[in-house]
Amino acid sequence: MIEFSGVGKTYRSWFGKSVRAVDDVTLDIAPGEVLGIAGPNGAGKSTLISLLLGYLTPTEGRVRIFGKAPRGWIERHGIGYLSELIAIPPAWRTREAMVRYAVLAGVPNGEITARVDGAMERLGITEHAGKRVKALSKGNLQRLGLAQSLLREEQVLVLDEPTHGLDPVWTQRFRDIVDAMRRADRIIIIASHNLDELQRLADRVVIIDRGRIQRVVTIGASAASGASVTYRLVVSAGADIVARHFTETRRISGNEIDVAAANLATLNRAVAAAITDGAVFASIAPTHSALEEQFREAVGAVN
Amino acid sequence: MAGRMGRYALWQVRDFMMGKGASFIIVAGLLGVSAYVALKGNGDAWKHSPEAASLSRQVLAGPVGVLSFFGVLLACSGIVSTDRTQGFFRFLFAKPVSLVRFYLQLWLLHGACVLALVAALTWLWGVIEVPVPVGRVVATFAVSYVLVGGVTFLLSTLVRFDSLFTVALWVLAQLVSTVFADRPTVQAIVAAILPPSDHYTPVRLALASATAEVPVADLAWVLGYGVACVLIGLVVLRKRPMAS
Repeated sequence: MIEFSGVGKTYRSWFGKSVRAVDDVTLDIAPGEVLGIAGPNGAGKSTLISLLLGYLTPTEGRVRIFGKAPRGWIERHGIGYLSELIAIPPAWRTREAMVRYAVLAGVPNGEITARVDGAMERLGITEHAGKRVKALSKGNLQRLGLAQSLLREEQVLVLDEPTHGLDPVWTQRFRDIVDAMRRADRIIIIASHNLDELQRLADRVVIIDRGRIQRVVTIGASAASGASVTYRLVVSAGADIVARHFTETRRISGNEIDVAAANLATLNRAVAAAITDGAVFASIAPTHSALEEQFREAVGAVN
Repeated sequence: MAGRMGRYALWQVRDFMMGKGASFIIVAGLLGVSAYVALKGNGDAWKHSPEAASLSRQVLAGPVGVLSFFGVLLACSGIVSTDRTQGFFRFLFAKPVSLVRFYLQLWLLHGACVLALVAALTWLWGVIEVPVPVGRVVATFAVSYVLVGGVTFLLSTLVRFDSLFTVALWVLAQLVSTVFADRPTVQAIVAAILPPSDHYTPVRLALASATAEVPVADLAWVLGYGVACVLIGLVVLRKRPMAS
């Protein structure tokens, strides 16, 4: 269990200026869970992660990993961690960096080669093994950062903006990797701007803004309810008929209409009724995912 | 943890030898060449005189004096602050590694590397010119490493430009001892806080001669100050968060 209890963090400059980065965050994360952290730039996501790793100390409140202070727990057990900015000494070579991190992670001597090669192959950076870190592209550097976080079967995995700089192919592969990492005793935390990614991967998403938790969205429940989702309907005939069957509509163009539906059942009933009355649908798609809607409500409400 | 830190020590030694160690050798080489050229001006006859060992030692005293301060400064600069400012700590200390142990090991290894290089270069000087007591030269660097290296280590846990601050503190210490020469009480108080350059110089000069007794009280002060700096640095590492 990871616990944030009334955690706050204020940065103070030498000149007396202070910035409240995290404010009264209380949150429990249970083993087996994939938790997403979403929020706009400067919301406090990375500060929250630094507090979890013990790289920052809270101004008030406390953080515990399985009942222990972060540094104490990490120095004993280690965690898989990918930081938002990949900072690896530029003169190191890719494979050398992996071997060094494997040694520090406590991978036994006899297993280092297999673990390093396995992680590099999994992330597709084997061909860059001899390159210096400074010569890697943004995407390959991101994959190296991800590969080093997967060197050991860690109980806690923290990934800060994991798909930043990855192409669509590797973004999809990353999702497969996270799915494969799910385990009953493992906690996975993913901080991301990419709500679609969090919607697919996380069990719960914490939406934070201005350092505070604005909302905690349970993804399964949100998807099942289809709450407050706007759909764009494209019709080839009967746009006026469609408008009659929804309470909230907005005409985008002659054959495009945005409608709000409280849930999927309501949407389907209204569409069926419109078809019966002669409407012909070319496509139906949510303009925003359920999570995105929640995000807009939560963040929009305070911005 | 001891096992993995021990295995990582090889990487730390390699990093030092490929970077700062190489620079140390280049600087030492240049200083050695200048001393060699100075001696060559006298021809080779001096090597066979009864004062050969003494002359060789005197010529080497200059480079040793310079290198025992600036070489050590080079070896310890950025030892913590580079990882902190560049963000390299983020991946390193997500692993099951003690931050305190990591940097203490790094500081000790840098010291061992410096002393090994000094021993090898002093031996080489003896082969090329006239042998000087390797033990005394190494001891000079050992004392300097504990003091100058200890101060730099502490400053590296606190500020970004650690070597600059070390030099500034050193200059300040010497200024204070000059300015307050006639006010022993003030001098004593300030000298207890600032690096003990006034205790260090007699120790270094004694070690530079072949026979002089090393002033034990000064030596104890110098070593005590350096070790205290390292210990305070370790406490800072434990208490001060790596990110800012």
